[in-house]
Amino acid sequence: MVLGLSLPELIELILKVLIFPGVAFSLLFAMIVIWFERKFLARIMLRIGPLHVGPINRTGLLQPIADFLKLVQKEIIVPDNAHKFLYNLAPIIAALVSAMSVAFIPYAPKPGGGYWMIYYTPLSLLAILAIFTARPFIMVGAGWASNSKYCTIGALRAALQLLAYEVPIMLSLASIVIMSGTFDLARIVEAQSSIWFIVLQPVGFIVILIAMMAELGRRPFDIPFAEQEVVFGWPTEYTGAQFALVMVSEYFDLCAATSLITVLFLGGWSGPAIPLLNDISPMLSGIFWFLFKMAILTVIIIMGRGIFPRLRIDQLLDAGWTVLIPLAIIQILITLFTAQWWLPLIGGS
Amino acid sequence: MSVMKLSMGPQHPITGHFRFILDVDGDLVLKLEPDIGYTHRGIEKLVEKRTYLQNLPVIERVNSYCDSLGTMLGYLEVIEEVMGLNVPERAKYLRVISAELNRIASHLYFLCLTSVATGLETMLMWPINDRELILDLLERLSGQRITYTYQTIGGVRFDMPDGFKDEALKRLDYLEKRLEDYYKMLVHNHTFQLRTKNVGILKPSDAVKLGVVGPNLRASGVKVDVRKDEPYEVYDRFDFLIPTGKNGDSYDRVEIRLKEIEQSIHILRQALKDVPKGAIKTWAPPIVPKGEAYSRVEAARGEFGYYLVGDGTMKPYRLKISPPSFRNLIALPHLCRNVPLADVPIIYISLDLIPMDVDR
Amino acid sequence: MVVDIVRPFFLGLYHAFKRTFTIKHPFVRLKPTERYRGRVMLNINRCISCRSCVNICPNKALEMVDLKWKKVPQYDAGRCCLCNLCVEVCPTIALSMSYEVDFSEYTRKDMIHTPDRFSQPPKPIAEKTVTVKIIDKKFGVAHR
Repeated sequence: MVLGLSLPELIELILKVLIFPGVAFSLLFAMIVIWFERKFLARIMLRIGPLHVGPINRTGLLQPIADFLKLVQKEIIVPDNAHKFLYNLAPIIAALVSAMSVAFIPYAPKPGGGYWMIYYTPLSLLAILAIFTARPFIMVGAGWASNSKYCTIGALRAALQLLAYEVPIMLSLASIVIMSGTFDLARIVEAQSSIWFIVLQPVGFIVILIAMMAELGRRPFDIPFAEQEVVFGWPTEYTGAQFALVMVSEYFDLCAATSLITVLFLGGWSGPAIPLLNDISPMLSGIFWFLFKMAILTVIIIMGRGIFPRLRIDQLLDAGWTVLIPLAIIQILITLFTAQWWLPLIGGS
Repeated sequence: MSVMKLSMGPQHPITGHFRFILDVDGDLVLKLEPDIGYTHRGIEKLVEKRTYLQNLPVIERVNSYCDSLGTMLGYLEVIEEVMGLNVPERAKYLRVISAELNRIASHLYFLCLTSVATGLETMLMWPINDRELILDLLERLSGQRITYTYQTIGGVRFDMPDGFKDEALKRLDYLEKRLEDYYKMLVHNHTFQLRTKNVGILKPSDAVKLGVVGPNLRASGVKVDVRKDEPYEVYDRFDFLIPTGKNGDSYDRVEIRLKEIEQSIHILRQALKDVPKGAIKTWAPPIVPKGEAYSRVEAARGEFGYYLVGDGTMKPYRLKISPPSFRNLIALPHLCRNVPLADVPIIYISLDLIPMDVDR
Repeated sequence: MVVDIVRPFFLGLYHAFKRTFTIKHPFVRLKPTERYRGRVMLNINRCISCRSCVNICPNKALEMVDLKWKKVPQYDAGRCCLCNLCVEVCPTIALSMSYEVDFSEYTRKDMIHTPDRFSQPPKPIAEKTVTVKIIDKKFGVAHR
């Protein structure tokens, strides 16, 4: 009796933490998305992405693993005047915090009742929001600890951008909470059993999609990373395994953000049952639909890198404060005033 | 209020081989100071030790990867003026054809650099792919893809091969349709317009006072082009427009170069249609008599000026080259006063400065 | 404004399904034209040792050396700028330009081609060669 759980529950917890949706799933998601991003963007630019590394000829499937192995065996360089404790700690905390957010998201309903998520709490939406809000502090800490001009400028810009775009996210989440009446993510998915929230709140969906692209640091809101004037932003000085951790934390964040939007707006695991998977276990077809919706959102977010230039910092803050926040407030008002039409459509308890 | 000195050094993702020293206060650039000389090779001294024919590869490398044929035209004009040489008609037409093809290639390369400066990598790859068509045409004509050594004193060195005309006309048709793609993806892109409109506005009176040349001057609204004011070779027989811009900001400077590609395609179609038959070269004496001359040509970046003093021997006594990037460089510190830091690459790239031109 | 944001999206997606433009060098190579100017080659039987090529080279890449009973030029490949002036001025067409462009070595001394290396024919080109072609009237250029 460890942690107040019996043996089958303990085995289930270890399965969840280590395989799905825990460590193995997040790393596999990061590897696949990195490979897909390089190949897809290369095709848009009329060139071939990774080519030679991998089992199947001409696809380069193992290229992310080859890059990871190369990075791990490089020398870790710490600048002379850096604050050593904070400098070495920041990438580890960045990766851990980003990986923690998948613990609160329900991926499928279990056949005997309950949900397949690592930790069940009736306030899971607030927990994920708190984790998202902690990210700017890590960036500022790493940027200051590196003791270099480019890092300082990049870290301050990252903090400005991320703090400014928290507000539209919270306002769209507020309208979802008004509509479904609970902070529990599992209950929100149950409430969408007859109609998805994207049909009832299209404006909120657009607001949260754009605001999530700004939170993650994706083109066109690319200013914290890869600037042309400020060489690479806050992780400029990191090499070796620390650089690998920083890169991987960016994709952990992408996994968490797309899972969140799928649960809130696209109906989570709901979809027609697939005959083959249903024979093995009825949970598997739910997981399949969840991953399918995550994949569509990932493709849309990745394509932003191929078609938009980068925005300037004052134009970005302008867009956030003067366009997105009013749209989110309008969505809340619409939700409040048209209550009598959508109340009968909400299923569940 | 503390002022930080930032050095965008010679090895930097966006400046090429230039060095700038910026005075930055927070996010605002107070002053910009260029520090040139990283790629200085001493071309004006090298030229004095070699004969006129041996100088052809040397002058070509003043601006080798973008616009070598426009550079060579000025050198040959000034020699032929001192010697009093008459170049045959077919050679003049071939010189114009190769120079206009090179201008299109140079403007496509400018589009690549502009999209890198704003952060759009897709528009880096597409113009480079289409530039392959033009480099392949020039390879059929002269044998090399970038450093041609195609024009010589008294004419050109190689003649047009068979099938060149039809292939060139087919490719020009394709390029004209492809320009619409560039408009949709880059110029009319909403984010690109946010980034470049009202950035780095150069007023016409300022442009004339500072001595800016080329498409930068035309984007500010001043209608000056050497091909129309003092026509050289056979430019007075073709019928083409000179596009001008309205505001003089970076968006106009980018759009005007796309319009110039369209005008170059127009000139090429007329030139390819009536190339006369005849010789491609006359005999040129190796000795240039005593005398001096000055000539101007319109390269892709602006106006090249050459001044030659010949003294009756086989080597020039003094050759002075006045490149367009050196004259345009003075606009950069003038425009970069009290702008946000993110605007400096945009202004620099839209002026189309090449460090090899500036340093020679 | 919305049209300007949405139109590049569909244009990019259209290009994702077109043929790529990359050449898988060095297994596949670009086909050189007949006039392509690569490394210079010498035909020893035709050389009459008139030294015109040595006089005209802008970089002093050619220099006369002894070979059995006559003098022939030796070629410094590190200094040559592929300008074709020596080929044009040779009175007996002893010099010609081949299509070989990958003649790099490890030391500077190896870059000076003595007459036996100077007169070697070029390496054979790879099995597959492509050129640039227009395959689609509006959107397509490819290497075939």
